Amino acid sequence: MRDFGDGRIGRLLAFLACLFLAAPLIAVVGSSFTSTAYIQFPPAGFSIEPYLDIAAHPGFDTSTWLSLIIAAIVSVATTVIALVTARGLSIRRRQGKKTGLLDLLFLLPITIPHAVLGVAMLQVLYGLGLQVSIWPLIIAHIVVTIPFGIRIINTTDGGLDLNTERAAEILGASALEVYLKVILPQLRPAVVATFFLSATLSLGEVGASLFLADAKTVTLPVRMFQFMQYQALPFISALGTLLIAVPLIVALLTEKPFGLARLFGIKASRR
Amino acid sequence: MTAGTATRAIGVVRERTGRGAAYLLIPAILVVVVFLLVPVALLVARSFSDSPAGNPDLLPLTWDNYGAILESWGYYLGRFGKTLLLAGLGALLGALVAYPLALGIVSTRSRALRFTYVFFALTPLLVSVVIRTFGWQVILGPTGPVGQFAPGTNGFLSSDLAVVIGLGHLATPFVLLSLLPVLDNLDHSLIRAARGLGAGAVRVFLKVVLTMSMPGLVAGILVSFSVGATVVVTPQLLGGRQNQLVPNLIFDQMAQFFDWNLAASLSTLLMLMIGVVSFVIGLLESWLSPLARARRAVALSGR
Repeated sequence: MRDFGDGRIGRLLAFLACLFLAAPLIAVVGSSFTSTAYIQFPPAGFSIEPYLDIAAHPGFDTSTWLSLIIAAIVSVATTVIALVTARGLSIRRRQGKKTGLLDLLFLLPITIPHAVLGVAMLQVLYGLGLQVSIWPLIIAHIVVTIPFGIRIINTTDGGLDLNTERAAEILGASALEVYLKVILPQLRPAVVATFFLSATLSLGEVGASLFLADAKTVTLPVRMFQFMQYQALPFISALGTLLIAVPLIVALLTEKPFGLARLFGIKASRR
Repeated sequence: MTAGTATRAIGVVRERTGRGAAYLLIPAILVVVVFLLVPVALLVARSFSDSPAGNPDLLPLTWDNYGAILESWGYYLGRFGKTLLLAGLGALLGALVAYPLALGIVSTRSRALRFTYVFFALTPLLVSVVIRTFGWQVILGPTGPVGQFAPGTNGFLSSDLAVVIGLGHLATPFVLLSLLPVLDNLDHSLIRAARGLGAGAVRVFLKVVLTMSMPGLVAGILVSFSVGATVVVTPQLLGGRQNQLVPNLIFDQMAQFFDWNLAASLSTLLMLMIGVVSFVIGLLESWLSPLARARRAVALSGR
């Protein structure tokens, strides 16, 4: 594509797109340093008061812990399931079997609304005589993150050189040994990317979590949403800034070696 | 014979891996079926039930919930229409933002620029929709850098425009997700051929790049449309209480009025409408797009 799309107009439009994507994040970060008692952007004065104010609002600490625990479990579970699934898909493809229907099935969670998933799971939960707890949230987040995980790992797993496996197998390695010693090391970047993305998506999920929240199961973004429906205060911006900064810095540092860009089926730095 | 041994060994690889393959797919299939498809099927079943919230016994089935919606059809028609319209506009805005970015990513000669583009493309996926929507609230609100120029006292908030902007931001990564692989695999010799035959940049874009990437673009727009039509947070925070979309109605029925049956019917109707719209647009794309027409022409002449 070098012959097209990188001209002056192309670059201007791409720059505008980046600006549009960054605008709300800049507004959150900017307004978190305001010295006013209300939300102000560009900030009036400079203060770290909003950050200290986070602790003054009850419930946000327990919600943070809840969200972190859920994200930890979800990221491990999604990564493991995605690894196993991607392997299965690769093998089927090699055998010349079609995977179209399976690909569609695994993409389904992206197209079925999170809110509908939340409503449906709540109904099943009560139907089984169970209470809302941390587990339905974990399950809902696994459902939501699985398509992304499968997609990231599949692009790498599907492109592996079959000869390395053949060599190991001919030299007498068992199937499990081949996977752990030959295949898994090659998948490491994709595994890191999947782990990180599913943790981030879980930390930010509201669509389903909103419906699965009772007094004890309010995740952090749901708590923020419930609060900001009535009041927009600077400490929300401060909290938001922390939740923007951590994943973006991690992504920036790990993009070169590990590469979330494979989610898009591409690499961030190719040429 | 060495060649024979090697072939047999490869055969062993195939055979061994062959047995394991189906069983490797079971966990993911189970997760999607048990925790997504079955609950959603039960939700659809509940939309035909009048058993009280929380009661697992859905029988006998009735049309009453849909009857109730039909009774105030004027109101619901307005809400559904607006939901689909704003979601559609949001998806188009997302496509408008995603396209130049995707084009930049696949075409730029500069490594640094490519990295920057990819990074910005990823940001929306890494930040919760709650925080991003809050950012738009700040920008469009009465004291914000854009909102202060609005005529009313509430900035640009509580308006359809605000909702479309929020949904556009929501849509962008989903368009990129299906557009980028298509653009990345585009056959460059086509562009060179068009250039060589004297086509200008605009013409190359319209006739070659856009045409060839249309399937990815349409797929991305449809996913964004479905996401945008079902999100609760964005219309709630940017559209205002008096301007509720269907996802908000569903949320209120679940959380405030505990009318699960009505919530189930509204969810079912919404999914149905999204499905119908997506199907029709997909059909139109496969009939009307120049790429599909060209493929059909080739198939005909080949026979």
